[in-house]
Amino acid sequence: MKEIEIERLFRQHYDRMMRLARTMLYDDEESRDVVSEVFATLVKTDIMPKNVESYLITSVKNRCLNLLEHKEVRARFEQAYTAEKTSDSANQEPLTYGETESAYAERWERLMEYARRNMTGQTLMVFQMRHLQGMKYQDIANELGISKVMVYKHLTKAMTTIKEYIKNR
Amino acid sequence: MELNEKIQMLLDMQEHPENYSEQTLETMLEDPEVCELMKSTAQLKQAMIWESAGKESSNVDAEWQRFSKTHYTEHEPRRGWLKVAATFIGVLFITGMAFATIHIVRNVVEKDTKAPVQETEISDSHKPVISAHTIKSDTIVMATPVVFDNVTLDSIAKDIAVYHHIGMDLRNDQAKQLRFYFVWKRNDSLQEVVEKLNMFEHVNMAVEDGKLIIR
Repeated sequence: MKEIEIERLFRQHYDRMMRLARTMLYDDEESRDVVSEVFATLVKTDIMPKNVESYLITSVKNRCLNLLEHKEVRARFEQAYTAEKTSDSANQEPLTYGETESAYAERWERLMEYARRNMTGQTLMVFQMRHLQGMKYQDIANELGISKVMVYKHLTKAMTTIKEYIKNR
Repeated sequence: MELNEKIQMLLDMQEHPENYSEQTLETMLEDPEVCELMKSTAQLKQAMIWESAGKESSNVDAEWQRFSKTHYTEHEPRRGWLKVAATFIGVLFITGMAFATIHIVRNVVEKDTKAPVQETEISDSHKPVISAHTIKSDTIVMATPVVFDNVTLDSIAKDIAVYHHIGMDLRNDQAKQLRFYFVWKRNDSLQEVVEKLNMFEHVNMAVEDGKLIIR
């Protein structure tokens, strides 16, 4: 594919592709590599995919899933990767082929909305400190001036709330 | 195990997975309730990352520069690398040939009674076994025959030419496709070897101007 065409696609879709990759991999470097690999396959081919946006987004998703499948079980616990292709994966998959990014966006927005309605700000804060900043339970407790047991309680609340949400969806 | 206990354990596993064996962790994941909790954690984490990633926009210009630099301007140097690689492989091959030849010659000349056996890989896919076997004797040096098993004509000719210190001229590219089983008695004169090879169908070889010619 011509450089000028790739550049157009790159500028148009890069941010959205990165956002999806980061959401799945939780890692900027890995995400950048994945997105770059997807465009690299376009450099080598002359065929323009029919639905480019869907092609790009699906390619990112598949490459991420592939990477996640090879994560070690310890990392899965620590990072909470979603690599397992569970039995109900058919309806749980974030994206099926042909879906666009907007469907994906809507899904996360709805989940966040539910989370805000059913959890306190502190619960969300504890979860965010643990899972996005990778802080230790004790450090979170120290920083927020609460006990470690409370940290556990907040995280338990977060998990069970979302579990209910997934069940009732 | 109560759900609460499971949650406690899961939280500990999430912070200190190194304290558990992989087996334990795998087993834990097989539990449907744990699996649901893990999924819930992942979903909320993903939703949060999605949200925060939407607030910051990356520098697409810089990213594009980075991408195009590695995938477009690199065409020339990449070909250059291929050339270097090809040359390197070529040099390796030639060195290998020279090495093999030196050994063959040395073994013939050397008055070694131990009769060393050598295996030399001559071309990429086939392995004629050269067992250089020398018998101590005053005047006659016997070399054991070389067996080419399913080897292409050009490889055979190359070995023979190198052994006799003459050049080779491949005028018929079919030689690269013709494969033979041929026993090369190295005590035979060059002329005799060529005559024997010419008995094969589709083979037309000659020695002219100090060169082994394949027509």
